[in-house]
Amino acid sequence: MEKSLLRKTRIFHILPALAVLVACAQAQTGLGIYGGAHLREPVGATAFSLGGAQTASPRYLCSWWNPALLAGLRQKSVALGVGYRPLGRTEGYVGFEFSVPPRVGLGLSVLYRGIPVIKGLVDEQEYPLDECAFETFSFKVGIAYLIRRNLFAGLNLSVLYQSLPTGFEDLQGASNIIYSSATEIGGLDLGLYYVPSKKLCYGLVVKNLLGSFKWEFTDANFSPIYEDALPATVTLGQQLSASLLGWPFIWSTDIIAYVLDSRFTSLDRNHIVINNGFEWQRWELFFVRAGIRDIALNSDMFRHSGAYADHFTCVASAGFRLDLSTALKGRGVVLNYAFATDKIGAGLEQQLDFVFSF
Amino acid sequence: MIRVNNALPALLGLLLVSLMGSAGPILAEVYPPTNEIISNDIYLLAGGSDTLWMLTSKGLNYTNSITDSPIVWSGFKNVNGYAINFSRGMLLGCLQPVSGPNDLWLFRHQTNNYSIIELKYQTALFDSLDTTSTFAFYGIDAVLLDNAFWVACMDGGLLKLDPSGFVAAIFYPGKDTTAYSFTSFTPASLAPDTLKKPDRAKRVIAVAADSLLVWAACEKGLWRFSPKDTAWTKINDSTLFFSEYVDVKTRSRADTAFVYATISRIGTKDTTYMLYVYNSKTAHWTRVIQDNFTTLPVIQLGARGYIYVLNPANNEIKAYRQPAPDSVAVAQSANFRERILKAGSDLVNVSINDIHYAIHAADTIFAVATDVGLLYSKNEHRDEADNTPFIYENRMVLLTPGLEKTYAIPGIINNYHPEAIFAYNLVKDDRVTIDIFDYNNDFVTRIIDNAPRLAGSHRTSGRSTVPQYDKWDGTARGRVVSPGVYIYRIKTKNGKQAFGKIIVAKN
Repeated sequence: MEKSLLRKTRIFHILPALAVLVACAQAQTGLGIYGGAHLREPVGATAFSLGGAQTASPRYLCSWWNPALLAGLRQKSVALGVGYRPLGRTEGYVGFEFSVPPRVGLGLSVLYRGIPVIKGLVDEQEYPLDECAFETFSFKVGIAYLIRRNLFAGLNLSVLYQSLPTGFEDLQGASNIIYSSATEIGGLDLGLYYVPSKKLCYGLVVKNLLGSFKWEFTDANFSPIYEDALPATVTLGQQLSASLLGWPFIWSTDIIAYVLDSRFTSLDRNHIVINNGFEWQRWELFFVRAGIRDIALNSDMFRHSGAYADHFTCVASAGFRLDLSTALKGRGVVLNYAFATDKIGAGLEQQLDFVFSF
Repeated sequence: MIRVNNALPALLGLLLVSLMGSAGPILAEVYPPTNEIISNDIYLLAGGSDTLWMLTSKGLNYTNSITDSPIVWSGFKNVNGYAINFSRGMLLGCLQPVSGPNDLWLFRHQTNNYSIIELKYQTALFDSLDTTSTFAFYGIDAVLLDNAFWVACMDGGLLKLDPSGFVAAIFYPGKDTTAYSFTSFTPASLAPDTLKKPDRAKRVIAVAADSLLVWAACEKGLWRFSPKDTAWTKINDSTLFFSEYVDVKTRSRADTAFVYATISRIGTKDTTYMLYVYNSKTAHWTRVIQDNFTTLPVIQLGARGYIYVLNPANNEIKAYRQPAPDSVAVAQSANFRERILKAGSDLVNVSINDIHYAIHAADTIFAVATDVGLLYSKNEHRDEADNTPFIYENRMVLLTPGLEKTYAIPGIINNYHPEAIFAYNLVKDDRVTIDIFDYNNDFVTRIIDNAPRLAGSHRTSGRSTVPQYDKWDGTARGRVVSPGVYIYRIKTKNGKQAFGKIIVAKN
């Protein structure tokens, strides 16, 4: 029985590795030109500390990571979190999720990301522009269904909003910034969760189907409507439970592929990104975590190794989970904290959240 | 709020305005003067011996000491405009506050007092005269003669404007020399066929003056107006087949006026512009410059028979010289462009918008308005091997060395501002890499890769930037990036780096 499990485990490890190698034959660097950049960074301090590898088994914010997991919830939970990144980027998020026995789970999450104060911009004559802001709000509502004890399926509907300064003009004594906004309604995420054994689970999520930002430019210099299709992502996640020095040790991996946009049009290049995270449950109430994320695997590794090395960036992260339930007389409260290096050397990124279970 | 430096004229003006109701000029709000150069994008120049006015994309600038070093500038922000003319210490401009009406502004230069003559009410008046065209001051030209501004009004005849701004009259070129006062004029007072007579014109494109006469370039002919006896005379050009007169300037010699008229001839495919001169004594026309121009050239008459021509089609300035006032001009070999380019390191792709020539004492000033600032040269003796360098005046702020302050110009790339230049200043010569990242710090594109850059100096306005390379147009891999906030990183080989934000909103 034990031998059979190991064999099965190896097979499941080989499959994503093969998928990566096949994809690498085409994939190249440069995710930065596509829309929805603010949606790419992990949401939640747990995911943040685990290098963004959360698709196989998110602890909370399931409607963000993998809606299928909503079907497996045992308690209601509310998550509240904030984050700060260098260069003025801030974020806040809220998640609420619960199960409807015996087979259904529901959840919603709201994410704010943006730069509330952008200073130092100038116009074409180097006159300072007013302070302005870039703001985004992302809502996701998820529902899941337990198909079998070891197979769940779920889907999300999303509403995404952005407000961006898109122009400027001279107005005596008044704001000289012109804002435009974009809204995406009806984007779809599909998720599967599969548990082949007690020590191994998989998640598969396709995000941003049918979604695109519809910009309504208020500046007369623009076409009034501009549609910016988001890249659709396919994420395969796995989580392996093992032990280290006799204590539970969990390894999570996400492999994210960017091949099509939300309208099923091929992207100009394919992209593969790998995230990894580790959690050591050394103490009952205190877990330590580490991760490394945004490792871009692509054909430049073989064809232009110098350029690949030059542009290679990744993020190292760490954090912890502190269970406050005992201190708070049995109420289910968990504190998660994470910090990470910044890909471009601008500073330290941090996230902090509380998860209330009841 | 009304601001004038001299309270008495303002009060008088207000009194008159109140008496005239809506049919009179008013003193409008003006903006506080500033002591900086308003903008590097300069459209038009005007001035006299010491004085230079610049109409820029952000407002008006002027100096009373063009020969000082450094020049002391003053100006008025947030004013747009279409035309300026300077005569005898007064500037008449067709200006408007941002989002405001199309006004005539009068600046009394000697005392730095200024008032605004607002002619909004005449717009409605002119409109009522001819419903097929729209009156506008967009194309005004003006000249000071007989203590009055003579303003060419598109679709509005010749406007005589008292420097006080409170007495105005219209004269329509033709046999009817009635002056229509704005305070008493109504469309009904004009005979029904007044503007329909074939020998008269209501559209005046440009004006010039000699010591006695106003010369008006109208659509279909050149007219001469005598303020003394209010008489119009049409100049005969029946053998030349001109299509339209578009500009006029004069030189006077004793009792003879030489009237330089830029005319257009409309061909089957293109319109061609040519420069002719008319000798008022002999009534003879001569084609001064043999070249044809495909766009309306800017003509400046210099001393000793020189004519300076800006051809906007190719951004070239050429000097010509006439041996005699009504003779054919000969092109000179002076290379203005090369001298201009020597004046600044970033003067590579310069768009020249206007030129200005003025005599100052024994010297002359030649000024060039460009989209990157003002260039001017002293001692413009064109008959010598003149290599006097052009001096470059711009409003760029000196940047502190050391990457403490960097920014993208402008900070928002959009369809109207399709690219941005990165301004930065190195402490010492170094190699620089500029990368662009998106909001999630994912790589977008590399602007320059380990490129050598010099430490900024006063000559470069404290910049290490090389504008033709250190810029981004919001694209990567051949497509415009998605709208959003992007981060640029300027990194030197010696380990210094700086970050900034740039917004892309192109489609």
